[in-house]
Order: sequence, then structure tokens, then C-alpha cells
Amino acid sequence: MLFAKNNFNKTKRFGAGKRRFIYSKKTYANPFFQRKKVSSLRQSGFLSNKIKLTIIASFVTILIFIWLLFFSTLFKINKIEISGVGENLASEVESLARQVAEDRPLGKNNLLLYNEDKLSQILNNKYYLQTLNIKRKPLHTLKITLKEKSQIAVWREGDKYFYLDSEGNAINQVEPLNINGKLMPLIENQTNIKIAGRKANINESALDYILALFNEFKDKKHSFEIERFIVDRDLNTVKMAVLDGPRIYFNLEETVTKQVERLDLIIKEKLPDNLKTKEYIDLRYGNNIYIK
Amino acid sequence: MPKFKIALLCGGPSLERAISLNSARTVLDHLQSREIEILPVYFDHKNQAFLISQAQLYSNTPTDFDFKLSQTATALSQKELIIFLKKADLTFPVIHGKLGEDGEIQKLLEKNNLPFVGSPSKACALAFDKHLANEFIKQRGFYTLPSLALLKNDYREHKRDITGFFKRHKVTRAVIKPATGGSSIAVYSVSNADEALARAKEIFSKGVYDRAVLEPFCQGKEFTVIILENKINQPVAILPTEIELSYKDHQIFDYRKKYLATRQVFYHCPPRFKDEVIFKIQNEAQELFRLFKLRDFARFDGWLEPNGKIWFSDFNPISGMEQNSFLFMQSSRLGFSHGGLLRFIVKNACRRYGLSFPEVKKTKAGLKPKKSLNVIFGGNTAERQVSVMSGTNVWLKLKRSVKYDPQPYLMDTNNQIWRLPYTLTLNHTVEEIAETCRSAKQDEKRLKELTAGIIKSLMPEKNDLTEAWFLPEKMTLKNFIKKSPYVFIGLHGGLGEDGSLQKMLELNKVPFNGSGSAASALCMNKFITGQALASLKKEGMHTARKVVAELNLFKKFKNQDFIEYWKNLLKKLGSNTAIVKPLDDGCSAGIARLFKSNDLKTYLDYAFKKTTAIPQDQLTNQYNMIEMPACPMNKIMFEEYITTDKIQIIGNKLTWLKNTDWIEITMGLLENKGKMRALNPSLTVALGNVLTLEEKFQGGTGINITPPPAPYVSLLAIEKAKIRIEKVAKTLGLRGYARVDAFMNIKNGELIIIEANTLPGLTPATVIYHQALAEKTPLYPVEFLEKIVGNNY
Repeated sequence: MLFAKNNFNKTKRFGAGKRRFIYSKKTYANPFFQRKKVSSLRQSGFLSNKIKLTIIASFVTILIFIWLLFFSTLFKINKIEISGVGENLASEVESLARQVAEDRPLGKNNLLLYNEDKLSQILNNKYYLQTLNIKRKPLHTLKITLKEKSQIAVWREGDKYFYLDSEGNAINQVEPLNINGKLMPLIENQTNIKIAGRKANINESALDYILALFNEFKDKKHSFEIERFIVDRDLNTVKMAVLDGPRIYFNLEETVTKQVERLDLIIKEKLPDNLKTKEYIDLRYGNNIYIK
Repeated sequence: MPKFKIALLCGGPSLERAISLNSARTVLDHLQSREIEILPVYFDHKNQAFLISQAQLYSNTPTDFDFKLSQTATALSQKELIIFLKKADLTFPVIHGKLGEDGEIQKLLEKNNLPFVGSPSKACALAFDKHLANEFIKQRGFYTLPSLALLKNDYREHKRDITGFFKRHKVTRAVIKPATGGSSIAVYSVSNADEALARAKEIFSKGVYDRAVLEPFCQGKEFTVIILENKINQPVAILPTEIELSYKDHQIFDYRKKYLATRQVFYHCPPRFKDEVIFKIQNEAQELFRLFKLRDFARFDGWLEPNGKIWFSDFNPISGMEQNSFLFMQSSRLGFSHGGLLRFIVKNACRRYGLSFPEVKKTKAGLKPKKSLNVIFGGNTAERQVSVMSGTNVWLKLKRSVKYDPQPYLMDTNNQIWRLPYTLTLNHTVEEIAETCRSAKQDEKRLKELTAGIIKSLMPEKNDLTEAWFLPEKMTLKNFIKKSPYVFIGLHGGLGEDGSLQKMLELNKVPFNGSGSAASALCMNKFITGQALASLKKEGMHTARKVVAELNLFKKFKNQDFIEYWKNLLKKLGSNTAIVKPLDDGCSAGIARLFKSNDLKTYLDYAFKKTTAIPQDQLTNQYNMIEMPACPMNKIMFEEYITTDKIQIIGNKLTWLKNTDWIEITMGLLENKGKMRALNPSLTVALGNVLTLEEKFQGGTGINITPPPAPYVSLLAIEKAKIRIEKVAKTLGLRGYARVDAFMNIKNGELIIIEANTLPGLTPATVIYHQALAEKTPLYPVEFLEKIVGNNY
């Protein structure tokens, strides 16, 4: 019964007539010295191929990915859009942005791999920016929007020229050919204190003062053509150099209006014809005006 | 050890102030050393003394800085001057004319017991006054011509006196000159009493002179002789120079002929006189030197009459000291270098005062050996004499360099090259040097005989005579190039500047100064230069409108044709007058301003005749003679005349009449680390319509203000102009150094380019040196030249 039972069980398990088990012929084998089973071998070969295929596929995928990333033109930066600044600065920024795109061993000019932080750092170091926004626009465009602090004057130091913002900070160096003296005042620093970091040796109120003078005379009042303003060792003084005319000394501690009124009066009353022959007019001492 | 300090007094109130600046520059160049310091003191036209920088001595004329001095410097009081001079070990006055040669400054020095170089006050006063000196030597038995002194205040008597003089001495030609003038300034040749009277008026009208002298014109041969004192205070007259020139048409040895090398004058040193005559001149000169009680050195001018009589007509206590003046030319025949002679003179003066004069120490061993280079100058263009001045100056300056060892070479008018000994380099013109070279072999023996006795009498010390004589060596240009490790081209115009020589040097891989062959060829043709720069117009660099014409076109022109052509020309140029210039010659040769069709006709007449010059007053408003190019002209170019602001310097005052906001400038460029950098520009103030050769190169003429002065010219405009000139240089491919002449807008720095010079003149007074000195870190001439050479050698 037991046997029959067992058989039944086996038949049940494997299906009747499909296989025959001879239990009498018992053989024992050391599991450690078993011959390899053919079936298992067959099974592992199949698996191996699968893995191989997978690996190859993965590898190819990676290769394709690498190719797409590093060598294809799919994400190549073809265009760098710069807005918010003038033509000259835009071309400078573009050149810097391209340098950053090129500055990697692999994946040069790739939009996906573009190092925005690095560009941001470079631009902030080089320019004095109010805003900076760097965006990638699929598939080939890098968009940079930046705005410099607005320039209100040109600062001359040695033989270099800088744009200044309203706080007296140097925005950037400017080539003389790009300076239009009619749009903003040119201020020459004749002191020994040179630009430190970005800070020029002039404070906000002095700058405002010079701007006020510039606006007063820029339309050729008294047929003055302002050549430049001079800041030198004389305390609380700004000197206005008139082209083909005298230098006029102003006191920063007294209002522009008062001193200009005095100047108008002295020109009208004492120098109607010979103003241009004078070397200087010193308005710094209240009603005592010194002329040479 | 403290340096030996020499206070160098220069300038002065006379018109020779500028010549004095040339002398001072030579003394500075050749006397200053590690052991000797030169302290320049300048006297302006009011006799006010100013301490000036050494850099200012390199100005072309005192006018360049006179007006700046009055604004920026305070004149020294007499007391301050004396205190300053007492700080120096010795004073060296090199003031010509009044104050310097009339004994005034010496009187002040004597009064304050200050040791000085040169003659005492009394001797100067006597020798310098032409009338007094003539009477003085006459009384002592020397041969003289009659002389009449005219006093300014006795003007009512002038007519009678002059007429009487002409009658009494049967004079058919006379010379009238200031009694106390020099350098042949205000010296006139006249034919009759009326002319003499008119000239007398002219002399007195200058407000500088109060006495004039009238003498018969001496019919004979002119000479000049330098007298040096030896160490035992004995005068030794050295080798005289015969001055050969045509005295026809009232020509005389005038200021221009003295200071600008010209073919009209030929110097012979030794003179062609018989040896006995030379000895007689020397003996008489020595005797007169003693009689006048002169000291250290002097120059006497005189005449040898056909009958053998010798007349000493002028006595100069302070002889001019330009680089190739008679002082250096004559002494170099004995073997003196410039420095050697100046040290010889100063050493003798020191001996008199018991001062110890420092010996020049030889360069320390272990220093790098000097690199050899060859300086070539001369040629056959209209600018060849300027080239001699340039080349000689470069050679002399580089001789003081610690880096280079220059050798002078002359290219004669047949393009043959001569290796020159020191002394022959100091002759004035290409023709003169070449002729001396050709006859050197046969003259050698006589030269040695004549100089041997002089050297013996001078008693020089061991290191005084450093420049040994050798026979000039002739070679072809090809051989010259072959044997040259480096060629410094000092040629102007022709093959030296049109790229031909540059091409040959490039092919032979011999480094040279300045631009390469392509840029040189381009810049030589002003029309093509203009075309090459056309693309820069939008950046503010323009060129004047130009029209080129073949000379042959005008050959068959009649008056009406000229009128028609002129009308059309002005229309094309867009101006009322025109500038005409030869198309291929550089510099100022053949450049004139034409006002009307008749001027064009006259100009072309001279061009067809191939004359060397157009005399003064042939063209409308022509204030100077115009030198014409040496080579035949085939094409001429007309250019629009650019009207500028009117700038004048009168006295110490600059007047600026606004007109168009354009000024004429000249700007040098120097290569630094492969890039051409613009130097500070100079405002050029032309006295006539265009700059003449003299104004460009002759020391003491022309006015340049470096940089153009505030408040008339905007600082920013100057900066902009400098950047623009650098762009011009880049476009034209200029290298090494160059000079660009242009008109500049004083407000925005825009430029109208006139021309680019690939081999700008390097004469002692040329403007490029002032520009290099006006840089933030001033470049002195020797350093400047070293930098030019150092760019590629």
C-alpha cells in the first residue's frame, strides 16, 4: 500500500506513463563529485547569451549615449543668445561663453554638459552685473541674459578708462574709442589712491555733484565744451577742464547752483570777452572768486 | 664716490638760443657718464634761468618748451642760480651770442668765484664784438678790411655814414651784420648804400641788436679754424677747414648753409691751400688767441685773399658744438672722438682750477660683448643729406650703447658703399664724404704730416686720441650685405625706403631696422597707402582726397588747359587750394601748396626742367625754397588741402585761433613685444604752407609741441588718435618703428592720414625722440635706438 501509495503519488506528481522511476536501483553519489548535468549546462549557455546580449545592448546604449552626449551634434551649442547689453559687450560675453563650452576634455560645446556655474563665476568676476540669467534652450541654444550696473561716468586712471556706476564702483574697463564724452562725464583721477577692488576713489555725493555740473554745462552753456573733470589732492574740490578754456574749481561742500550762479555772474560782468584766455576760475571760497 | 657735476648753461636771449640747445645736447650725449653728471640750466629770451630736465635738451627748438616753462616752472633768482651753480663742480657755458659769448655770464661766474670752462669775461667781450675785435687786431698789426659801426640810436646818421663808407672804400659789394650776432643770423650781402641802409633798418627792427657793422665783401676763400689750449695753457690752432661755395647772386655762408647740409657748400679739411698758408693761418690764430686772452677753446673765421693776405673776420669764444660742427670735424682729424675732445677741454679747465676730473673707467670685464652692426646712410635721393644727419646721429648715439658696436657706412650717389673712419663720417654731405673717400689715399700722407705737428703741440694724454685713422674701404652693396650681421638703414627715400634694400636683406637673412619690404613698398606710394587705409574710414581714419596724374599729360598744355585742369582738379578734391607732391618720393621733397592754375604751371615748369629746387617766391605765398626730388618725376599726386586751426607761438605765448578743429600732428610708433605702440603725438606748427626739410630735421627750426597742449586738445582725443594710429600701423604692416603724419580732430581724435614713414628721420633734433621722452617711462635716445635694434637683433 505503501508502495502503491507512493507510486500514486509519483504518478500524480509527474503524470502517469510519462516517466518511470525505479526505486530499487538506488545509487548514491557524492554531491561533491557529481558529473555536470547536461541540462544545467544547456540552461546556463542560454542564460549567458542573454546576459551577453543585454550587456552588449547596454554597452551599445551607453556608447550611443556617450556619442550623443560627447560627439554628436544633437546638443551642440550652435547659438548663444545674449541680451541686455550692447554689441561690444555681447561679443565679449559670447566669446567667454564659448571658451567655457570649449574648456573640457570631452563633450566640448555640448548644451547638456554646459557648466553654467563656471560661466556665471567668470562673468561676475569680470563684469559688475546687476542681473545674470543663463538658460539652455533645446536643442542648440544657450541663452544669457545679463544686465550691467548702469554706467553714469567714465573714470580715467593712468592710461586706463573705466565705466563707473552711481556708487563709484568700476563696472568694466572701456576702450577709449568707445567712449562718447557727450553722453557722460569723463573724470580723471589725479590722486594717488587707485581703484581698489571695484571701488574708485570717489564717493556717491561727489559723483552726483559732477553729474549735476555735467548736465548744467553739457549743452555748451557759455560755449563751454567740457573736456573732463579732475579729482586731485585738493580736498572737497572738483575741477572742470573746459576745452580751449579755463579750469573751473568747485567746492563740493557748497551747492552746484550757488557756485554756477556766481560763475554766470562773473562771466557776464568781468569776463564777457576774455574768458578763454584765463587759466582758472576758483569758485571755492564763497564770494571771493580767484581768476588767473 | 660722488659724481663730478657739470652745470651746463644753455639757451640765452639771442636768436642762437636754438643752436645753443644743439650744443648742449652734444655735450650731454658725449660727456655724461657713470662718473660725470650734467645739470642743464636754461636761459630764456629774457635771460631768466630755469632748471630743465635732460629730456628737454632733445627738443627741436626752445619754442617747444619755452611757453610751457612760463606756465610750469619758476625762474631762478640770481641768488638761487648762484647757489645752484655752487653745488656743481664746474660750469660749462654753451650759450652762443649774447649772454654767453659777450662775457656777461662769465662776469657773473667770475664775480662769484665759480670755476667754468671757456674764456674770461673781458676776452669774450672784446672778441665777440665784430667791430671792436677788428679794430683791436688792426691796432696790433694784423691785416683787416675796413669796418663801419652803426649805432641803433644814431639812425639819423646812418644814410650819410653808409654812403660815405661805400664811396671812401670804393665798395661794390658789402656785408652788413649785427656787431654782436652769431651763426650768420641777420647777415646780409648788399650792393649799394641804399640796400645797406634798408638792411640796417631790418637788423635794428628785430629789437635784439643795437649795433651793426658794415664791411666790404671779402673776395677770397673762406676758412675757419679751431684753437685748443693744451695742458700748459698754450693755444694750438688745429687743422683749418676751407669753406667752398659760390658767392654769386649775393650768396653767403648763411645760417641755412651752416646748419643744414647742402650741396651748395663743400668743406675741405685740410684746406686746399698751400701748407705754408695753413701754417700761417695757424700761427696767426694762435697769436690772436693769446692777444685776446682767450681760454680753453675758440673758433676763428677768416678769409684768404687772392694776394695771400689773411683776414680774421669773426672770433667765436664758444664754438658751436653740433654733432658735425667744425669743432668736432677738425679735432677728429687728429683722432679725437666727440667725448674725447670734450673731456680734453674740460680736463684743461679743471687743471686751471685745481679740480680733479674723473677718468672714464673702462667697461668692467665679464659684461656681454657688444654686438656688431653696420649703419648705412647717404644714397642718391633728395633726402640724402638728411640721411647723413640721421645715420651719423644713430652711429654716434649707438657708439655709447653697452649692447652694440656700430660701424658707419656711406652709400654714395652711385650706390657704392664705403666703410668710413670716424673723422670722415663728420663731413656734411654725401658728395663731400664720397669725394674725401676717393681721394683719401693720396691725401693720407699730407694729412699725417699736417696733423703730426698739431698733435705734438697739443700734448694729448694716453687715452685722449681714440679714433684711429684708416683708409676708407669701398665695396658693392652685395658685399656690404654679405658682411653685415645687422644693418641699421639710415637711408631716406629711394632704394633704402621703397623696400628694395629690405628685400635684399630679407633674402640674405640679414636683420635690419624698420618695416619689411612689402610694407616699405606700400608706404612709399602715398596713393596706394591711401587705398590700403580706405577700409578704416568708418573707424574714424580717413585719407585726404587724391588725384594722380602723369607728368607727361601736362607737356603740351597751354594756359587755357591749365585753367580748365585746375578747375576740375579743385572740384574733385573739394578744396580751394591743393597740395602737390611727387608720387614716389618720401619726406618733404617736391611738396608745395598750389593756390591757382598759374602755380601749377610754374611747379610743372621746374619739374620738367629737373631743377634741384624751386627758389623762394616763385609760387603764391611761397616762403621757403622747395627742394625737388633727385630722381626724375614721372607721376605727381594732388591732395586736398586740409585747413587747420591757426597756431602760433610768439615770444612765450601760444595763440590758438579756432577754425576747423583740425591740427597737423606727427606720431611715432615703436614695436614692443610684437605690437606697434603709438608714442605721444606732436603738434607740428609749420611756418609756411607745408613743413620744409629744415622744419623737419634741422635743429633750431620748426616747432613741435609734444603732446599737443591742453586745454586746446582733449586728452581723450589724443588717446583715441593713438589707438587709431596703431590700427593704421597694423593695416599697413609696419614693424619696428615708424612715423605717421596726419591731421587730427582735437575733439574726437579722428584722423586724416597724410603718410606713413617706414624709416623716419633720426637726426638729433627729430621729433620722434621727444615723443619717446614724453612717454610715462621716458626713453632716452640711446635706449630708443637700442630698442629699435633689439626688436630683431
